[in-house]
Amino acid sequence: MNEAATIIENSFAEARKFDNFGTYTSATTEAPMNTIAAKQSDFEREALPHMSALYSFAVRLCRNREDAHDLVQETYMKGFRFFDKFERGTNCKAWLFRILKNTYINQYRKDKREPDTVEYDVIEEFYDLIRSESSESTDLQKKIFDNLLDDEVSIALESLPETFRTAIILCDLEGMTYEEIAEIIECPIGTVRSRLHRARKMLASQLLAYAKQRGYDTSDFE
Amino acid sequence: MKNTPKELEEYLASMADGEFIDPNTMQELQSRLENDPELSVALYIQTAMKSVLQTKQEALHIQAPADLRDSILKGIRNEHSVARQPQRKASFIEACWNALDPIISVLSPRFAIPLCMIIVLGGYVYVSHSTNNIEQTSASIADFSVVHAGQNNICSQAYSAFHAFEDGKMSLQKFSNDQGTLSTFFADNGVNYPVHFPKIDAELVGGIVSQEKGTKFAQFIYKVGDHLIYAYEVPEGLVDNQTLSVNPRAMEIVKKADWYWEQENGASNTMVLWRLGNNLCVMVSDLKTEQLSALIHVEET
Repeated sequence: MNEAATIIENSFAEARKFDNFGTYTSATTEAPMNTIAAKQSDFEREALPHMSALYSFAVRLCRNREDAHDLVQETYMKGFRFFDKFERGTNCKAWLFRILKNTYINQYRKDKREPDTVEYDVIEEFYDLIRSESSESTDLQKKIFDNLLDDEVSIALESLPETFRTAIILCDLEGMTYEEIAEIIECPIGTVRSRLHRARKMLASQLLAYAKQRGYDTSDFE
Repeated sequence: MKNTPKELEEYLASMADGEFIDPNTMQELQSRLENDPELSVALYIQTAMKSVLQTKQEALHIQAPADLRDSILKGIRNEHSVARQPQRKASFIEACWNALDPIISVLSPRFAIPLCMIIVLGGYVYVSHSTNNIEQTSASIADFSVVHAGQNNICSQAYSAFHAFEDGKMSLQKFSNDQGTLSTFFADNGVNYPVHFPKIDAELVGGIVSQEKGTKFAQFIYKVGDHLIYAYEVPEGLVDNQTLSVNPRAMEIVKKADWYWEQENGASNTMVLWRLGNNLCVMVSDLKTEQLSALIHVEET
């Protein structure tokens, strides 16, 4: 037994003899005393497996790998500091994503101009066009969407406004449920649904524009 | 309640994602899908976009750099390294050399040699200046005559309590590693101010209630490895030289620099005084200053 433990143990014995306040309860002394090493080990086991997903998401948010690197590191440091507050057995990935998103908002986003976004009029125009088409045009749409290049999808994704981009990445790339996304972005499930719906419409509009640029015959839409 | 057409359309996202839709809405949606080809196209957009992203999930995933994991682990370990030493700053010469190395390596000796001489001279001037600074700092520390005198001085009380606890002359009255339990204990035993437990990477062990001129105060103990940390928290409003006091010089430093640190005379114990909410917190520990400071987290604002 080390010196500190001996002092505490002696203090415990003394306290039992002179229990001035009559509030001594043995149960509290039996609570496990997590050592720093145990906390570190628990944290590494629970949190580190999500590093890759966090980094990928961070790059999509920051659009800059250096900032994303720092953002993920900062997220883990904060996660570690507040790991005692994390309820074991709950969703560690969602918890870390939430820390990352808040850190991004507080530290990284403030100096950055929002990127060019898809103009909503264009989306509505596109949407009106496909509304007017019969369902037979879905074959063409399928052909167009199936032949997209990885870069085109990536650029289209990055062109979405941040709130929509976040929702669609968390749902379609990270496979999170609406409940998990709502927890991360701190808004009701209805808002998650609405953002996803709009995000996909915007994405479709952008991807159709790429298809046109690549010479796809989209005359059926026009 | 009936959904508006816009709300109903948004439920197409839930449909594509296989999320829960209440039975009434689902019925309404299915009925509209059967009769409205536009809505079918809208559903197709939702499913097609999901499918595009899922198909390209691997290609869209951005691999984390190899050093990220190591950086994170290093950060965590540094955060918790009790034996952490202050990082040695690169010397001026090293810094200059590192910065200029790529340039020097491509310069001819005709230019590189004078440049090296300038670096050496610059280094000499810098080192001389730094030495002067150290001397000045030592002098200013020597000028500090912070004496924690008086029975009601919270710093001398903290030292005495720490020694009494170490020597077994003072015992914990409540054992718990739970802040809530200790807060209740303090409140139940007459401490009539909120106690803000500092954010510290040490194990809370228990608490003691002390009394000064009829007022009850909270004290608590942490342990980390083989070391003890004693904390004494009092409302700043009561540090009025009547109930409690503190050396004005130490208080002035707290006001200017947020923290007052000192090494106990004739012992290797460390004391720190700082503001915690409306309270003043004094900690005494057998840890070194850099060890104790590494454990305390600055409150996030």
